[in-house]
Amino acid sequence: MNNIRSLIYVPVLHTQKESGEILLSLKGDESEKPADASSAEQEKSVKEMWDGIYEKIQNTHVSYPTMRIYQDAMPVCGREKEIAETLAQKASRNHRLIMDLLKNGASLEGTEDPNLLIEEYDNLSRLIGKAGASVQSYRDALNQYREKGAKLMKQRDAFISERIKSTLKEGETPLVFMGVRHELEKLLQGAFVINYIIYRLPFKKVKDIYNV
Amino acid sequence: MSDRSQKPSLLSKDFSTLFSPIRINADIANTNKPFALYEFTSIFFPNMVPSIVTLLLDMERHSQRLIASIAPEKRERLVNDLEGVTIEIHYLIKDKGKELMSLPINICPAEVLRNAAFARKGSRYNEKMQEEINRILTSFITKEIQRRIKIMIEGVLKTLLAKPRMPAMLKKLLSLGLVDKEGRLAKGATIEDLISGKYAGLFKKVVPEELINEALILKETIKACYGWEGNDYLSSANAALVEKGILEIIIGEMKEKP
Repeated sequence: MNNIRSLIYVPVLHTQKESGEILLSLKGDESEKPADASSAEQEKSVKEMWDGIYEKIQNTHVSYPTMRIYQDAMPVCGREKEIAETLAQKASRNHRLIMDLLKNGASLEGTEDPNLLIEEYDNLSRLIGKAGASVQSYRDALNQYREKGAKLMKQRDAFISERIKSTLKEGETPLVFMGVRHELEKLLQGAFVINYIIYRLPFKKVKDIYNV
Repeated sequence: MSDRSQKPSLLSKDFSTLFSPIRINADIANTNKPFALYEFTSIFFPNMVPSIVTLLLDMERHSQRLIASIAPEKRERLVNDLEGVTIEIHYLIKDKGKELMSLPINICPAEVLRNAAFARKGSRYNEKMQEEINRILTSFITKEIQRRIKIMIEGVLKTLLAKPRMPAMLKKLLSLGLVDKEGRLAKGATIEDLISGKYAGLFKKVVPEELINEALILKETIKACYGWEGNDYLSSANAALVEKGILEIIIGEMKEKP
């Protein structure tokens, strides 16, 4: 009889502060970065949060060489490590953590279908194009984005799920970093026992309350 | 006759145009009861919402079979005769006689027959209703989480007040009337005010950072999981911008030769 393997799932959340940092870094203008005391405090708290995640990963006692990382928006392209490296330099704590894990011997796997990521990018570009016009036009665009996005997210999740199942080697444990918009757990539940690193919500989904 | 427009709602949005406006009495909802109610319904009526939706869907499907055997002229006459007629099923939850939550379902037979005649696939009853119920539940859960965070913060304040040397910022909070001598937050102070709003600067000097972080993460989680954006247009636009920026880098790197 086959044992069901364990999977470590880290829901990725960016605090407002971290999003702001990434945004500034993407603009390439570090001078815009606010440097007041409260900013330093928040910087510290964001760091603490990710350090906490790192500590919890260590507490799982999975050895790094047997850890295979699957990351949200990481395309299957042969340049996964370079992508993580670039994003780590651009203030993404998530990718900094991945780089630390790689240094310790973990492996990083291409996770997503590149074409679906390009489609996501196009949708986001259309949405942001409306942000400058007016709040109402942005809200309308946001609704359209959500409609398209839900379908696209299903396709992305299906690909990721298959990718994890097909690339995971004997004796390895998948470490999955996914944004909270993904609903990957449903697709993985039969094949893996999922251990959540952060699980703060009282309910996973609103509809779970009614078992819909 | 329904008086839905006069009922208070947890949500500022107008749901009166939707199929089955659920109303929640926000004044009563701000207690332990909604949460206990969820637990109760999930144990004893786990299929309440799906059952309602199934009932409506079955009715449509069944009506399709019935309507097929009726001559088009008679069918048209039926639709005309039923125009304006509504059937209302009213789910009502009360707390000591006061309405806590109500779910009035309005069925328009003429519309059901018209849909059946056109053999329309799908039904507005399903998605719209589900979406609406989810929104209400989201607001309930959000409120419950906010209440719990408020309790946690008040617990911390109470402990600090009991200390012989009260932190200076806590004295300031007291003098401003934001906190009372029991450690309770001022009436009307919202969790938004405390963690990221107008009192955030004061509170973060008194309340442990971890608690503020926890609250911020919960807020972000709710927003991301349930698509709740409140009035925070800017942070939603910024989040989209960050996501786009990250993808831009990824796609750029992807196109480089390995």
